[in-house]
Amino acid sequence: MEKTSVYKKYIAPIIQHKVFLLILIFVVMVIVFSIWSSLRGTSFLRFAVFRNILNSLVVTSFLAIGAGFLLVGGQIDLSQAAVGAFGGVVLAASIGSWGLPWYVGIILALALCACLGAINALMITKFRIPFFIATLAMTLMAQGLMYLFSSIGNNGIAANINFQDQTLRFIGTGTIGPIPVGIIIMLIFFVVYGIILSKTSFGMKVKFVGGNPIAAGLAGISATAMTYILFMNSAMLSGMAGIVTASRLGQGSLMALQTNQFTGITAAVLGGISFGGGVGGMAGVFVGLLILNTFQIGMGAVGVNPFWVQVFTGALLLIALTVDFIAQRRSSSAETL
Amino acid sequence: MQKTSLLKRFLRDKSAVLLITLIVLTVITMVISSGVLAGEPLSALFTKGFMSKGNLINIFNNLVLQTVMLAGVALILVGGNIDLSVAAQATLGTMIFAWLLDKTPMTWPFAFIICLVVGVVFGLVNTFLINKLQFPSFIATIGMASVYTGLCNVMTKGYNIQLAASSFTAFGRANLFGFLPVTFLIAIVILIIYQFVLSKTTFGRNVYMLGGNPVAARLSGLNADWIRMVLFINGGVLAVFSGLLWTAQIRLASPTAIISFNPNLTVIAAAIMGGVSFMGGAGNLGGAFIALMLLNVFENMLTVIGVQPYWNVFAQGLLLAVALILDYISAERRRRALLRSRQNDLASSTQATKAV
Repeated sequence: MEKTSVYKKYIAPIIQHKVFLLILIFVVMVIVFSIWSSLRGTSFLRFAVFRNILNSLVVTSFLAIGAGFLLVGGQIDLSQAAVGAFGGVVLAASIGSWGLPWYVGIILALALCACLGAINALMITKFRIPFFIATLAMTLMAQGLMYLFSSIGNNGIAANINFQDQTLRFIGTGTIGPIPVGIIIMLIFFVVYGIILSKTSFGMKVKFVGGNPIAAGLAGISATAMTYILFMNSAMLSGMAGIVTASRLGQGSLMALQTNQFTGITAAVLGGISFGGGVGGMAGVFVGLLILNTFQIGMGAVGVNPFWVQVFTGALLLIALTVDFIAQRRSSSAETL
Repeated sequence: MQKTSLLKRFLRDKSAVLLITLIVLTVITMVISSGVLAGEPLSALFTKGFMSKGNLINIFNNLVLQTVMLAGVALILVGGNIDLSVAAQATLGTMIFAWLLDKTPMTWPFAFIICLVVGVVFGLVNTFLINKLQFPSFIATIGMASVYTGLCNVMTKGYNIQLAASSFTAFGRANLFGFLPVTFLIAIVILIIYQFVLSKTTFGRNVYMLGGNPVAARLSGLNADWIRMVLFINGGVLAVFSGLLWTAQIRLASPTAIISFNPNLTVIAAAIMGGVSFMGGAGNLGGAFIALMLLNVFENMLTVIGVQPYWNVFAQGLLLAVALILDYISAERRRRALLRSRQNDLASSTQATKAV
């Protein structure tokens, strides 16, 4: 009697939580890769490997946080990657071509990205363009602007811009003790956004608008204001991703983030944010990303052909969703019983 | 009288705005690109620049792949789902086709049929994920796209496969009247057939109903799973077919070429611009095709006029946004006019009751 109540009170909620399942997948994955790599005579279970995994998360984590917040609010932003690349080029151009100090470059990049986010929101709220098309149009416009900014002060030629800056170099590739700065920044962002989403009234409003926009409107929450905030937030976070990428390379690349158009959304959905909006948390997004990257780096560590890794990544997403689906059905059938 | 009302009805249609934009842009491009302004004779309008035979063939050839894809994707959208895997499906289809021709003694008609069967399998996989496992179609198809793209690369380790010359490749480059590719005609015929299915058959009605109100559709006894299965299988077969037409034109199968120009998103954008609802239940292929032409021809126009490449990309995005904003404005004006006429009716009826 006593035992079951303890189980129900403390253990059941943890086990039935979505994030627990994801962590379980992560642990299983680590064990499999450890055994597999030891069979091949290399070792996967090392500090350096996990540092690499976390380091590879940094850029995409900003996209995933932005996409996660939007998805909870019931929207999707396809322009993240393009806006991020634009932000990176603006930073590089302002330092490399125009000779501005680094903080002005960052502020300029984030401000311009926020403007693009606001234009997204304007198209969606004022002109009622479906978010899919609005953000797709923004993808093209941001790409055009990126070429334009890279050509200003560069003899009118659109090209990658190299720059040198000690502070940005430190942000991109520096370490505090054994831990890269990028990882620390990422973890701070995850904690702050996690608290905002799950502990503040703003986070609750986001979920409310995503879950039931009409009810939220009747309760006095402005869906328009929410759309503006979420899209500007997503665009600025994309800008952060672009800035970190540029700082790491020391270059504002026109090809930056090109393969990441769906990465943020994929990680957010993998992390248990429901596609219809209204449900989800940042811990899930983090573990979702962790699983994706551990898988990719682990496959590389055990020597699988990178082309197959691409195949398995897609399969992994579908398997994770299937597991989630089965767990959901089990819990819902348990409730009806 | 009858004529004006017909005209008015046409102008109210969503695709009218797009069509007029397309015509205006075409005329402007013709004038600028032919060099009439720089003293060329007027006949140059139809022989040089934009309307030259080479450029027309180019435009039509580029449209083929996307037009055939559009027929599949637009139907899926009307049915209330989305398919982001068609480009990857088309690529894998072409890779399998080229591989079969290259590595086996098979003749092309057999390989062609095998590839269409593969298209059916693609559709069944999507159907399984969406019907049985109840994934959102957005995520299921992104996942499958990644799987297919990976498989394409695995097949040849990332290399292209050249197609040996045969009646198949000859057919890919055949033209009528010197400017109309046969593949384009096939694409148009497919589009017309699907428009007929969508608007004139019971199945088409059911697709609209499923997309517009899935709950009501289920309650009225529609087999939603079956309709979705047909739509996705159809989408898969058309995707592979579009890829094969593309291969016939280019004479090559590449694991990256089709995906690199992102026909998937262009086709969906065109469908929505042309009036297909993103939430399902509305739209037709005619409007979607006009929008698709507008998007493609616009890109070509900018190149022909000689716009800087970065303005080209920007302008395409702007066109997409402006077209939908114009659409919003016209819808809003119609709504206001309707509201005003209703208020007038109300006012006159209250006056009438007062008089009584």
